[in-house]
Amino acid sequence: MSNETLLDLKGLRSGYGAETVLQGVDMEIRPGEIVAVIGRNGVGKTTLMRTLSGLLKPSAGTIHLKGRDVTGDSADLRARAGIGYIPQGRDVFPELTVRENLLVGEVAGTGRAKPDYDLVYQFFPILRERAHQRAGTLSGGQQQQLAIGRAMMGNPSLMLLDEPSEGIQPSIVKDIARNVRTLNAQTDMAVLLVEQNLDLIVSLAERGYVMEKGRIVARLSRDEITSREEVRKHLTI
Amino acid sequence: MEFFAAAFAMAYQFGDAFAFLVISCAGLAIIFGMMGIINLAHGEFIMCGAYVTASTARMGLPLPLAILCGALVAGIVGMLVERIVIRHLYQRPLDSIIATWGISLIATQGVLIVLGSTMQGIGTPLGSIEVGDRSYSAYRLVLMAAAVALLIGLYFLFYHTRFGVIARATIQRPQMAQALGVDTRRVYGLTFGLGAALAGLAGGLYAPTMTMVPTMGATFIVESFVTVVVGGADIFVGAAPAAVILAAIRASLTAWYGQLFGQIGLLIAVIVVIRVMPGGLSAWIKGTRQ
Repeated sequence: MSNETLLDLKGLRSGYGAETVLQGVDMEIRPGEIVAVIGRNGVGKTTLMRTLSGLLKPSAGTIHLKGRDVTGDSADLRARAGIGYIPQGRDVFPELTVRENLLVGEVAGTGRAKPDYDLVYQFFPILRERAHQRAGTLSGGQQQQLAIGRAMMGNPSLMLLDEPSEGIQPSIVKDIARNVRTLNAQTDMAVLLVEQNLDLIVSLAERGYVMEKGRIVARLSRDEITSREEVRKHLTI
Repeated sequence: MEFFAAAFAMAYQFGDAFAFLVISCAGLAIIFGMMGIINLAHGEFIMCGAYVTASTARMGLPLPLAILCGALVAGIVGMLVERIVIRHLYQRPLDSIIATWGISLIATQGVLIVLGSTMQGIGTPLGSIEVGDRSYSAYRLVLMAAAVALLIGLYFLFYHTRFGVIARATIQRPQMAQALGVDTRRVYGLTFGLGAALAGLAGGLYAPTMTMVPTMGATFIVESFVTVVVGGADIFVGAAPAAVILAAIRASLTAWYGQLFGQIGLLIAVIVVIRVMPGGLSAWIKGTRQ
């Protein structure tokens, strides 16, 4: 199982209208891995995530998930196939309660997984406490936990985690890192992480890709990541 | 007794106006609030419901079932219209106004050509009740109850069912909902169908009180648009309270100065509201709540 590729990208090009942001990305992720995409602002990391979620249509290249070609699939089909997307800025449904947000998360797992509220509440007890509160009234950190919990409801095999630390206090970031690691260990769920926060990258990533101008320019091993030097070099402006 | 009779007359006027506003605007409000589409064919979905109700009732179907038939047929027609026309215009709100206007013209003229300038209607059932020295239509009391039941039913649908939660999520963040596995096109299709079915229900409920002509939808259009404009994008904190306020204005002006002033008062109320709160009541209520 562990040698099989979960996600396989070949020559992926994508962008907005006439502007191509991703200039041919090759990448593979195996089941249960935590992989970081590292790079400065504007190199195309979020475009990569949006293209993987299916919200952006690639203009060239292929995306295979569990060996199946999903390049032409819309976002809802990809979610049902096991991609859990946690976007930058979290995008919780502000007028829905916490519990209703989780209910929408169930949809991705339809016919594939049983929704498990207790598991989510076990990871993020604050969500149980605030179950009937509107999501728009939560703090940034709580919204981030909700966005992760909401993706968990669909029992994804790959979680796309786009800048989870953005605008969140350090203690909550540590909390989130610990939870993602436990979740990954317990469920064999792979994580593709886009991050600027060096500590979070070092505490989570098993390996990494360095992105520049829409291309992968380097691959980092766990050792290179823990030594921090390589990572820092690609993050500083 | 005199006082009671006067109070009943007032309450009846108010209830009648309220029921008409709520029932006629529900479908329009849902399609506008949930999808941002201004459906100018709203009146024709109402006409469709009324025609189906009248013809099935005359074929011997009991009236309540005939009304449901009207709603169902309008809903199915609505889903077809969504699939063929509206779906391609979601990013183009102005074009969707023109398209629905076109559908409205085609529907009225088509019905005129095929079924003629008028169709035999059905009588108002249930007779009348006497309060004081005046008599009132009992069926209109049923319509008032139907309006309240409709609001309760819609509230239950949108706040206590899985479809409702998913539909509300889709309105707030369509892309995010899709990225979580929601087939948003299906949600939009069902929502438009629901709005059309509610319009059909309005037509069915009022069919026994009206003359069946192809342009009968126009009777509902002013009131339903006024209610939606005053209410704003949310049916529960918008259209429903708007209907209460507008019904009070209309009922009191009609009682004191006659029908014409009731209508004028309604239109003045809209102008005042859009001047003072451009997002309608719902935006204003939500604004003060935060």
